[in-house]
Amino acid sequence: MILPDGVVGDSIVGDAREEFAEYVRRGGSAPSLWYWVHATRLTVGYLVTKRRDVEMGTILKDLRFGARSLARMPGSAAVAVLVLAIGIGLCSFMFSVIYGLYFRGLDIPDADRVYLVYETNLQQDQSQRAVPIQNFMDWRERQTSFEGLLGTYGGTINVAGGSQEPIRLAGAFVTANTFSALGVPPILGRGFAEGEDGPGAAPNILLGYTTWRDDFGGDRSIVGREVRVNGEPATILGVMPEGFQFPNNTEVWAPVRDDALATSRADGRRLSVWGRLQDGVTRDQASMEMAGIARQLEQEHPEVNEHIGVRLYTPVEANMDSTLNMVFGSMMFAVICVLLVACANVASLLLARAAMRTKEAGVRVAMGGSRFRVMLPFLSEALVLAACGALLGIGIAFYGVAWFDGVTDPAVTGRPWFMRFEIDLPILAFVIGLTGLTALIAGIAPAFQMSRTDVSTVLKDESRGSSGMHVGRISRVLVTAEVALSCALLVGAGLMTKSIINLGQVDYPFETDRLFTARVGLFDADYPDPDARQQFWTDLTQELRGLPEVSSAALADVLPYGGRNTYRVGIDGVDYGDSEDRPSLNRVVVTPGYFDALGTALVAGRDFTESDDMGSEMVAIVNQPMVERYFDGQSPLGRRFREGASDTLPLITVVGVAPDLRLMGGQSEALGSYEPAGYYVPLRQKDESFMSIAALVRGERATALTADVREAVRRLDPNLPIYNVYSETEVIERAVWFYRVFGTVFITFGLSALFMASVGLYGVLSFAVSRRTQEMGIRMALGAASGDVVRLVARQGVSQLGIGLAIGLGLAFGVTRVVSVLMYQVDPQDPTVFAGVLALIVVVGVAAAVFPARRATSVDPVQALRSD
Amino acid sequence: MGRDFPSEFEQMVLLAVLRLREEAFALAVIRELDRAAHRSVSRGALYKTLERMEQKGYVEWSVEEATPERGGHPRRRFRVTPSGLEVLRASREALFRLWDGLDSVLDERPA
Repeated sequence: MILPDGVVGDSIVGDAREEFAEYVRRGGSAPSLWYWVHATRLTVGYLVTKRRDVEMGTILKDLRFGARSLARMPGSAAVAVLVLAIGIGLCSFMFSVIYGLYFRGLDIPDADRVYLVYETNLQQDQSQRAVPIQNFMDWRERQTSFEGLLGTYGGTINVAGGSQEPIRLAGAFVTANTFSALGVPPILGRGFAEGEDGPGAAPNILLGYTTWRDDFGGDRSIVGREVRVNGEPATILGVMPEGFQFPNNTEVWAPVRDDALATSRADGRRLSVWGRLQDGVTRDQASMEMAGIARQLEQEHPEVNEHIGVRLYTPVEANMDSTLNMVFGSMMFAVICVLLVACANVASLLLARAAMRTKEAGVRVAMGGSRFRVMLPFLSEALVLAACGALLGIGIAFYGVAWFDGVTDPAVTGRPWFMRFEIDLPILAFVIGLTGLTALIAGIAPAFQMSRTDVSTVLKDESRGSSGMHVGRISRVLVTAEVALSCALLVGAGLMTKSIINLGQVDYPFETDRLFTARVGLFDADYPDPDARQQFWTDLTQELRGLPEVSSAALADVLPYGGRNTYRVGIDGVDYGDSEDRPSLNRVVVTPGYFDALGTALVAGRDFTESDDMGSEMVAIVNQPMVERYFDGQSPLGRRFREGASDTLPLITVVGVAPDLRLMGGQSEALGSYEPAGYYVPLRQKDESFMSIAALVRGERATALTADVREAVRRLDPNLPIYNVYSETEVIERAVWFYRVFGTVFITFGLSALFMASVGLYGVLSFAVSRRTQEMGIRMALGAASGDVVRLVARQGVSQLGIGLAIGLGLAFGVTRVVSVLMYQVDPQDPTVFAGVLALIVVVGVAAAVFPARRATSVDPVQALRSD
Repeated sequence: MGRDFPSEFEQMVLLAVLRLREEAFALAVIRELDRAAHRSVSRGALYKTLERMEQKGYVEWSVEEATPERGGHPRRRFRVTPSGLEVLRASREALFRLWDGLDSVLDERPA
């Protein structure tokens, strides 16, 4: 069988027989058992030894040896583990985020065949236009690529009736085929049946799981209950499964009920269109077909479909833009850099140890060890370190991911419901792979260095065992690279810190803590005409002003930091060649007394009055940025402009000038679309269904007013809920989370890098010192002052520091370009940040160099000379 | 790198064969390694090592006549070749040099 042929095999069998005979003669028990055990051991042993030099046992032995030898230097081992834990932890954290954003996808069957279908108008640089309902219906009839197209639009849905309070929910109006097209049935009741949408359909609803559980007590008998939906009688048809929030963090679904024939293609409802590709149809084929249909529609209805194309998007593509891709891409890149720095540090540590163990390696080579065999112990040590680091790192990542998932709560950030961040199986698989890779990267340099050990050099070498190695150069390059990387990351972190500090120190030109805000929405069923709505808004303002705790109150369609609406504006007397040349400015619809309610005052002119209505001259109050940018800083009182892109539109007269109330909210000035100019128009000259309440309280806490305001609204209309109840401070917080979250992340990255660079510098220098103990001793014995020795050691560190800083500053300018979109009112080349980072690195670096240098001076010459 | 050194186990086997002189049969080598080096050796590993060292020219063997105790199977007697002796010497010198001067370190505390 496996034994060699001929006399060799025969002799082996003979040996076995002889041993067996010996065993039997000595009276051993169970001879047949003995025989089989030995025969098996013989063949297995023969087989295993036949194949390779290195047995599994040896590798395990090396791992144990690695662990034990690391345990003998707990200090360095702990630092190495910590360094790797940070590297692996940050990498796993970022990977979880990237995975959640880009790879997790929709949690529905065959999600990879589900696409969003948008219109495009490349002439106007629009790539994601919602689709007119008439076009959508034509698409549906003509296309064959999708199993079915569904259309949806978002909106507020008020549910009232029954016993509970009226509630306002984030709703989606969907075509009846939505749930069947997605392949997700309700867990309770039924979905919309064919034909239960369109004009004349009842506004029946399906509830989201969380809404059903929290607002309806998880009542299983809910199906069939009669309620009022946006003022109309309706029935609850069913409940959707937990986690299903299609298409956009939706809490309740109602049918699309628009009459496509009642409006023109230009003015009608626009829908987001989704479709599931037929089996066997590719994305390209579907895109081709839809493009063909778009061309047909362009010919049939050129008035609205000129230049209109169609493009398919995956849900991820539709939600991520190039800015976000760049931000997350650079964050991933940053953590990979941090991990590489970690690897460099551990490699550096292992190199130092390798140098001290040259002789051990020499012995192994002298004993006939193969190159791999000599490398193995060093790789094993790296693996042991990486495994411990990974355990700790998973803990870091777990904490980080939970934090990130919390601070990017969809309710605040609008993050799509399917982008979840958690540590699950794919992430753990990633960590395991990463750990192996880390061990390889950290271990390969020292291992390779060892395997090149030249026995004769080592054997001839009369001095310390390390001089035959190029350890020094490699380590120095690694440390220089670390300093450069941490410099770049720290500049990013420094700018982020400044950005967060700026956020905290903004002197808002209006009240924040004392400003109560909430939103109210009127529905056509209850308020069928503009007069009814105007009346309600007037009554509401009076009710609010009558509350004892309120010092002043007003309404606005958007509040500062609450969003923005922009309109093209043409100043009377300015010649605009193209409508594209007219600036898009912010517009806010307000009631009289708005500026008082915000605790601010007009700079010039007058406030609106109740008599600024449809019957009087159209008026506006412009803000100071608009005066500066579009009225050349001159007084604009009496000047006129048009809202819209046509010269035939009515003129609006400027009657007042408002201070800059931050109409851009927290948006960064680095954005190309940054435009702080804007104007205010009176509510009585507009018609709005949704308004925000702004009420300045007499006390300190704005939200103490909540119950009073709720009661005031209910006195006017018992079915009307108020929602988005916040103090203005909270409104601002919700608007600027972006800076805070990403700032915190970048600061963490930068500090991690700094920690690693100092560990690296310290490690390399203190190793260099220990290698030169003898030299130091001689120098001291010959009368060198301790200052000379410190300088000698420190010089090496300082030169690495200098080169690293020079490279790092170059990198930093690249980093600032990326992080500029994440910063709040910070100059990307802020000199104080650059100077601060330089100073920090120099201080930390010098400290890391000085400690080993000082140790060098404490060398006892006698001891040093005897040490070999 | 200099010459190819025999592995630690190869050296032990070579030394055991030398010590056993005319009695260097496989089973005796196993007993000798157990006795002198406190090393329990897998038969398979020993045979394979002997085979490898034969290929390298460190050992050679001759066949002894069969005995009834062995079920009529032959027995091999091993001998270290001159080149086997040569590598043993080189290895010993290398180790001596490496050990040299380390007594204080090694006696002070385990490395």
